[in-house]
Amino acid sequence: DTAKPVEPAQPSAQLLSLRSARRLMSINDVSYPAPINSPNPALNTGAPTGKLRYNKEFLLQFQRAFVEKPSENWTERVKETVGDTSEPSSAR
Amino acid sequence: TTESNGAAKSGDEQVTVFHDPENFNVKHPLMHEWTLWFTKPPSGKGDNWNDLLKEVVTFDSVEEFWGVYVSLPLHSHYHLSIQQSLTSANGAINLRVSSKIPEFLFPTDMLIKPPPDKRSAPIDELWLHAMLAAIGETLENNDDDGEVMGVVVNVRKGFYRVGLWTKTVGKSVPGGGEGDVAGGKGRSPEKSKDVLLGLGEKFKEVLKLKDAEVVEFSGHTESAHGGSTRAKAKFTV
Repeated sequence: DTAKPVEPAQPSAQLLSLRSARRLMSINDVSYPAPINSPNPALNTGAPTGKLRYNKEFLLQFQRAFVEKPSENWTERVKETVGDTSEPSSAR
Repeated sequence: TTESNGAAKSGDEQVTVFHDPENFNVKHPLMHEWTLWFTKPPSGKGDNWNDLLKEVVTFDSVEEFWGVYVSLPLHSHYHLSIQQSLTSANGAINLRVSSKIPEFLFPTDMLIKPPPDKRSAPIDELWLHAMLAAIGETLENNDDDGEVMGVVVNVRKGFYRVGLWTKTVGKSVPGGGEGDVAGGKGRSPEKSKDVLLGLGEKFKEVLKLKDAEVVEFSGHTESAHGGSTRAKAKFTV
């Protein structure tokens, strides 16, 4: 799964979902599918609505779940800001 | 299906990216908007920090962070800062602060020297963990501590540095208001110091530093010049 996807001209289903998704307001009642671990409930117990905290272990799980570049012109955007990097970007 | 006002109610199905990566309807919001900046390597000819600074992207969800992270080259040339925002009746007004960022941030830089046999040290991992602690809001103990403004990584031959940028060096700042907030007149010096020391302890934990490894807090009086004018340490943890 290390093949580099060609940058899509149209937003992917994942990007479209992101753009239309609602912001989670509370998290302790979300049940995540196995093997995903919920965030540490103590972090968000009694938290103001929509002000969520996430522990590292929870956040790291997204690395494989959300892999979409943030915009259709991302490659150009990176080239403009970061420059033409000859160093290979490693997928982590 | 109809959307009821976005509240999490039973019966209102919440589909996350883990449930369906291509067809999810809720995302994980971050408490703040964050902006990722790329710092161009200095040319060594007295570059102005502002000219080396390039805004890459601004995001406010966990999903977006990872989309950015997995598709970025050169991970060790970035810093991440909170996008200053003001709330109005109409929602958030973003202040673009690109040229001003270094002026109001006081980096609490730390210098970590990797062992000679580990020059390539796990800096990428440490940097990732620093960013996750920042966006996940686990560095501060209380919502109203208000000190964390950004994290920064800096890799050079033979050393690397990961910094935590705070709003103040433990004193009120001009325009900081009267309240018990970071930089406000209502916050006592004792509390300011406690908040900063707590942050330092937490940051050491994130970076897996031993207790004996000292982290210095130092104020940047002229941080617009890329960190060459580091003031002496105010205190250490």
